[in-house]
Amino acid sequence: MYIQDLGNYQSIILDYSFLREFGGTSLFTQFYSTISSSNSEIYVGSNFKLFHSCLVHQADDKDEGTCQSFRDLCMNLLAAKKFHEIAHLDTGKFLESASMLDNPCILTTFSSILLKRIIEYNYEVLIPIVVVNAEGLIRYENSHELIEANALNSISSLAFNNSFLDIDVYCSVNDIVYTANMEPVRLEKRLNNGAEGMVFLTDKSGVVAKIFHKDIITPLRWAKLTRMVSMGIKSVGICWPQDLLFNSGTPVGNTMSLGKGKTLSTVFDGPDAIIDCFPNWMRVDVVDTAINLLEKYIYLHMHDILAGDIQLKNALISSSSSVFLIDMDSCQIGNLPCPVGTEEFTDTALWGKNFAHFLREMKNEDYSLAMLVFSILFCGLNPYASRHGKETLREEILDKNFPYRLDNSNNEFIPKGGYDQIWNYLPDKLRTMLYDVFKLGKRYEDIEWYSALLDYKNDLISKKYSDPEAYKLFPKSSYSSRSDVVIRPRIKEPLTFSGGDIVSNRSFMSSPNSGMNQMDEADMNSRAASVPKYSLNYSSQRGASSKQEKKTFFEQFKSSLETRLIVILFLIIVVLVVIGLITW
Amino acid sequence: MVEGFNESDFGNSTKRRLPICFCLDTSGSMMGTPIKQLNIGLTNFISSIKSNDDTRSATDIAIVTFGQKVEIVMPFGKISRDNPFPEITASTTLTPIGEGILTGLELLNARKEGYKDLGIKYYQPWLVVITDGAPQGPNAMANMELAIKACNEMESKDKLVVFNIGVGSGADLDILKRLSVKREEPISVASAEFSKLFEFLGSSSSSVISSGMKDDALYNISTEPEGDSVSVDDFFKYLED
Repeated sequence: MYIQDLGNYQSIILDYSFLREFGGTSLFTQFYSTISSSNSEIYVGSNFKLFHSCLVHQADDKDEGTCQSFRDLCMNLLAAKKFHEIAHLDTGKFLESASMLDNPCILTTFSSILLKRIIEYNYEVLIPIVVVNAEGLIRYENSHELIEANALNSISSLAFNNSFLDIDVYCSVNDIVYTANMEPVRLEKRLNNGAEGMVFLTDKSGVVAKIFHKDIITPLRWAKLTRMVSMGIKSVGICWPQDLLFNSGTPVGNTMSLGKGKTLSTVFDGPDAIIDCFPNWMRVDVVDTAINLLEKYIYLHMHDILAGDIQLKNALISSSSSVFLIDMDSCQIGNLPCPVGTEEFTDTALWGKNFAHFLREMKNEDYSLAMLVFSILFCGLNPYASRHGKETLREEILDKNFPYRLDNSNNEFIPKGGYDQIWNYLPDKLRTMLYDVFKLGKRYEDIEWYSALLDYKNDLISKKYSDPEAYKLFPKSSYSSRSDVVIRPRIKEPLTFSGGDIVSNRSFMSSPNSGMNQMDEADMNSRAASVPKYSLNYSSQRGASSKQEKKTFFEQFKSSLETRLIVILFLIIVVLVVIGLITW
Repeated sequence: MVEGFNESDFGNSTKRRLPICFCLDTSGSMMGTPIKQLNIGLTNFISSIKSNDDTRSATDIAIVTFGQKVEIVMPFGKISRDNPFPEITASTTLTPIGEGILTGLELLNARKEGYKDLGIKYYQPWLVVITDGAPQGPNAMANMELAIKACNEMESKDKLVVFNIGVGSGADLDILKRLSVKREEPISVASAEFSKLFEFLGSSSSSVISSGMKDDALYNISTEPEGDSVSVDDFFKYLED
């Protein structure tokens, strides 16, 4: 099948993966010419703009072509009224609506999240699915054909190879190691000595080197590092391996970008820890942190990567808008599994298995992300931490002993410390999602969490809630007093990534009840216009509120001092004038 | 003997806690170098726990000594950087191991009740018994039998991890062995090796908290890597295959 053949379809359901992988290439240009010169209409899911938002925020140069193509596509197709939204985030509902279109086909790629979900959940899709790869286009008549030809990845045999490299080289400070291109890298200060290896600062700014201990480099590890390096991910907030390192031709480690800040597990560890690290934080900062983390995980998912070992200690934070994913070399890429994980963050279906010997699925990752969202929103708490509970956390999780109720009818089992109030003040949508997952065992997709958190953030920024407690880090609790004392106006940097668009979630949204929505130019323009305003409004609002309502003690003292000085000066002048008059 | 607990002693960390109760022999035979080494080892252990982000607020430590009498040197929730444990001294000839262990178990149980009441999750507690002798004193053997029974019951239900450690050649390893139904042999160390012992306990607690190491792995410690060591050439051959 050729790309021009797509013009025979009345409705092309465009998966974001095609734009991500082929945006900026000649294939995309051909695609664009085809649809421009045909009667085809383009349909995208509500996740399209959200995926793009995640991608743009990673500011990776390699995605510049995608951003350019996104702009071209939106601007021209919206003007021609050929661009429509299928207003569903849930894959099942999206596919259902897509199947009802006139003469439809789904256009996607092999690394697509959509494709993985179709295969994983065995969704019945009775419309053609066209998968693009570097060699060309493959058309499957329906999902049965697709699934038959493309079972989920089978695990690499390297996962079962338990040999390890016998290294007798030892690297230390001031040693020089070499990249695969024989570029020298000098090891400078040693930053830490962990279970797997040592991390050194290098003579390259912002780049650190991880040198593995003896017995740590297995074929699986090295194969994965090799593949990771070849992917060329260079996002600042993802400490991705950049170069393999060798000493006298022997593999010893890899370079990666330097993350900054404290581990999330140190910060999100109850009220004392979080207030100690970020004394000015409000609830919006916690939500912002979760959003920033989710964007990075979703970005990885777009690249056929599952983080696998998601937990609070695998990320660093220096501010709510500056988070870094670390320990990336454990993640699952294609058929190379993630060999580690903790029971607390792992889907119970995987418990008891050797993590190194199977491939995780999207639904497993969705569960871990739900755990992450809860842990962040509740400042480090585990959703199954409950009072008067079972002997072990394992039992609590297996019994789905989630102590929170949708109707707030019983707070008796919620751990002490103000967590019941955090729950009470969460928006209904998030409460329902968390309850569904942790009490009823339902799953929500990564993008659904992202969307729900964006909505929560928008509610907080737009001051939707009349109760001021809703904005506090710990509502109705004395911990939040420090947040009240000093609130500095924060200036959110406008996005400067070249070739990128921020897509405002709100303005892009159409009526949630309608199945399909025409996107018009006004919508696109309002989106484009809303972006910088969104940032500026945010900062100016925060600044204004801090000036008007939340003056610090020092500011109050200073302003009262100024008033007093003016009064004293005035009195002195009056006295001098009176004395002058009397003398005169 | 065990005091009631105070909510503030639990802190407000959200971390899952690992309660560890040390039951330490302070009988006369520990006087001199052994007790000095024990203090150094314990100090280093606590200092490494407190300097590690993962274990700092997750590890909960209590210290009980048994010598002339059983003494709670440090109850749970009291150790901090500003409040280190007091130096442990040895001075008498008695060795009420059983009473010491029973006191330790009482402390651990009370701590667990506290966790449950507040909604704090925890790993199964550790009981670390270090002695260089055998039970001595009034009712010492009877109490030791009670302690063995209590430990065995909890351990077999996966509610306790026992580290039964004998120091030097004078330790009654036969009776120490009976403290655990899971450990094939008690851990035997020379007093000069206390630092290594505490390093091992520190890294084990870190593995449980950070890497999700299972309790069973604490009974079967192997420092040998699994798998076979291969040369660079063979290694790359695997990758090509």
